[in-house]
Amino acid sequence: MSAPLIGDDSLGASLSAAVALGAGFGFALERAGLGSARKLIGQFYGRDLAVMKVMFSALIVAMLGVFWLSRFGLLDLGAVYVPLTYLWPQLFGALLFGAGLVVAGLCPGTACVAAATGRVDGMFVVLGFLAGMVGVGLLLDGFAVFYESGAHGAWTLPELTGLPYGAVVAAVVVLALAAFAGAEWIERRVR
Amino acid sequence: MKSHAHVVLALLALVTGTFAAIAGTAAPPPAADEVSATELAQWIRDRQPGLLVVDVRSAEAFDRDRLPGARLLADIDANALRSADTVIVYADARADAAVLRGMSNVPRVLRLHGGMAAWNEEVLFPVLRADASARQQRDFATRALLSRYFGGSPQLLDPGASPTRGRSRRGC
Amino acid sequence: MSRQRTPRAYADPYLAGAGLGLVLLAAFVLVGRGLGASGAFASTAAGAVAAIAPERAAASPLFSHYLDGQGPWLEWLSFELAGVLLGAWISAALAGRLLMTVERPVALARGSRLAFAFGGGVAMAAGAALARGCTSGQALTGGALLSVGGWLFLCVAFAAAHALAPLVRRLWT
Repeated sequence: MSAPLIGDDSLGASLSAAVALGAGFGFALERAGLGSARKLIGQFYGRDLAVMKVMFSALIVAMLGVFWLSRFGLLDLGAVYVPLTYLWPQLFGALLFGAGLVVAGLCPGTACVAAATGRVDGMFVVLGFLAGMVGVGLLLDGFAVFYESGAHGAWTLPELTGLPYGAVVAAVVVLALAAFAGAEWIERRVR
Repeated sequence: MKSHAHVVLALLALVTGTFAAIAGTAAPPPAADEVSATELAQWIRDRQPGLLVVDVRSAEAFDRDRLPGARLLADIDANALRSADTVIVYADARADAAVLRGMSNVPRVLRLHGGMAAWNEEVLFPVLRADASARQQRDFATRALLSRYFGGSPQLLDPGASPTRGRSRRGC
Repeated sequence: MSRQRTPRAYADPYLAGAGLGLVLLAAFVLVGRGLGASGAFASTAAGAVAAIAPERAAASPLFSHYLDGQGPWLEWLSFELAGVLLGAWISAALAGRLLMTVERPVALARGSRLAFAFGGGVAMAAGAALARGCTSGQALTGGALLSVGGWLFLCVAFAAAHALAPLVRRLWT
């Protein structure tokens, strides 16, 4: 298995890749118009579901790519970092995040895109996010038990459900395509 | 045309997704000339006749740790190789295909998929997550039995406490 | 140089999304990790606090994570975000969409919009800190890797935003 290609010991290569990958990330987001708070917020008012379309398209492309590269022995899945699961902080955190998102109109990534293209509201989301991190970081030691609760490590849907990896992949693809069809229907209704 | 591109992408996703469901696991399957550690363990346990397990590593590695009934390549003569029904070759991870070329006159040679590492991981020390469902625990029982047969010990993993999967210090 | 008056239309979201998916896949293949955003902010916050009050920083379960290893100023996500700024700027420059402005509905004053942007950012930071990630790290990357936490975050965050939207309609119309 050849990938991941850059090891932990090659810091320079890793950070260079970070900039390059980030540039692709920012470019794609701006292309789609997700650097615009007014376009982004359309998602939550059923007007413009670009957020969902971009997110799910990206998700299934990467997910299918990971599955097949692994299956052909080209990517060592065991060496890829899987974000950890902490059920209770993530549940509560997602609620907070969603609330903040619909008020700010931008998430941290898209706020950077907005800021880079001159949008002052994006810059203020960035500042607020940074300030929030400082504040929460300082307060978090009082909630350390909650912060570590519901820890399940690198838990995946196949492990949770007992279904084969490929079956979950197929289910997600079907879910995404259904969501796309639904989005087109909703947007046509609005027009 | 944009809608054509959409349909093509959607079909591509649907087809690759369907094949993923058919494929099942994301792990690369053993090649035609390979055998999985679990299958080899079953052959050994069932005392399959004419089975010869060959260690192609150094003598030091062989002395430290080896598969049950395995013999060091250097200590085997050509006759033993030829008279065996099935020869299994293993190294630490992936047995080099070059080793097999030296055995072209042996009837059936297979490499152990994943080598010694796979033997330890899959057979001797299989892992059960503490948050596994009842059905997953039942399915694990057969692997636990196989593990104990070979003197290994099944592992219970507390996922919250263990190190992360993938490389060490990460975040989002 | 006069600014291009007619900015080009946005790209198709499915195609842009597929392109983003390829970038994400490239990240897995190149460095064995996905994309993210909130970690860069957490790391920067950790570094700033550590510079002023190192014991407080070390005591924080959030900051301490970013203070070991290579340290907060060599955080992979920070370099990635620098790239995001660059890529976004290039795309906007090419499309004639570079514009210094406050994006807001006409009926909302600039100051109010900026205050809500800041406040929303604070709330999102609290959420992302607890969730160990945001829409990029948990929902997108975690989602693509079929992480339980990632899918939980994706569903709940979007449900919460959708649920709250009617209550904050004044902000957007």
